[in-house]
Amino acid sequence: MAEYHRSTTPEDREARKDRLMRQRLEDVGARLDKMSPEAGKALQKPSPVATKRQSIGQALRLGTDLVAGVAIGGLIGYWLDQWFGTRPILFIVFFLLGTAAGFLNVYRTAQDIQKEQAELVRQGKLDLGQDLPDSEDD
Amino acid sequence: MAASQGGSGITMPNPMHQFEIQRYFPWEIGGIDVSFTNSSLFMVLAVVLTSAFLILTMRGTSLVPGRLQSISEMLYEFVRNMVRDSTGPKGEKYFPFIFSLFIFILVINLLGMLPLGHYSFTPTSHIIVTFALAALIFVGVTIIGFWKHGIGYLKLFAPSGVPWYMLPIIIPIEIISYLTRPISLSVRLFANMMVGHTLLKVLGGFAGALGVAGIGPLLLMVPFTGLEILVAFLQAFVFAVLTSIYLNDALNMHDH
Repeated sequence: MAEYHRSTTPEDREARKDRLMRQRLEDVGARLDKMSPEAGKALQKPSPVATKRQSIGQALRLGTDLVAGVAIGGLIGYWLDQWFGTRPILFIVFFLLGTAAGFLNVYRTAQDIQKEQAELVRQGKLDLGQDLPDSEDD
Repeated sequence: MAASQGGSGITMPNPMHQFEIQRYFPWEIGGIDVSFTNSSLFMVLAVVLTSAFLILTMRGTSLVPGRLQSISEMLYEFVRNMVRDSTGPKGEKYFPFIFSLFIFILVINLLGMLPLGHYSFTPTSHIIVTFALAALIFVGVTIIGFWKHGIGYLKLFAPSGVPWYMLPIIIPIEIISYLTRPISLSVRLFANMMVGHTLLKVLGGFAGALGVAGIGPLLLMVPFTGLEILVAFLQAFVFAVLTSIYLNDALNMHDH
């Protein structure tokens, strides 16, 4: 306690509090590991159901990402046309740009998914060469 | 449930009736309708219930948690890991906001699954509610971005490594892509909640109207109710994940 009252800025104090907390957590973790080494490892591995649930979440993002790009592009073009009286040139231009933006959204989401998977494979938490154990039933 | 339509003897409840706003305390300030509605009631309920649950279960904290305490701790850890994974150490400051957001949407979605007959209501099945949340996040994240990076935040719209002659096309595309965030965020949550609830109501209507044959739709409702609960959870999760991803873009400004 006395240690962190000495620090000056609030940010400093926050950082120190955080560090002390982390130290304590690691301490507890180490003690738990000593008590039962297997239990800790089992907890750290995400269940196949958890990874599956996450993939559904990511899949749900793709559809709306694409449609929202087209819709926003079209709307911007429509408004600008009304503003400048150039119907329908800007609508067409922005509709195309919006479609491109939609594809960009989807592309980035897909990239994020791949990056996440690569990270999981690297950590040995996911094996893409094997079927998930619960995939026989679908 | 009261409203029914269709002739020829078979009556079915209107599946859209569940989305109607009911004013419990009509009230108007300066021409603006600020009535306390069923939507407000469910939002207040969500806040009160979660606050009460989290405060009560974490009051007598013990190192080895009991059942209720471990629910609170699991929720906390679940969101905490998600925020840490997607925003890094800089985002920890914003964890309380994302935690509240996640729990708020989750509890609203789940409260909407309660079979309260005429009174049941899901605020997230209204686009204005989800759009208000998404707009708040969009404006907040943009302010944080400019606050952390100043005018340099605009570099988000011009990725490095793009040749100069491509910039006139890339910049509008990037800006539109940025503007789609609140739309896709709000439409996704709203559409999922509304479609699921409508589907359940239509199936329920069939089950009631078909007599003995209604066992078919009734059986179909069982998996769909489970699916709807999964969607309620997933959509809250996706909303929170995307918020932390947007926050990460504003805080760390990595190139795509």
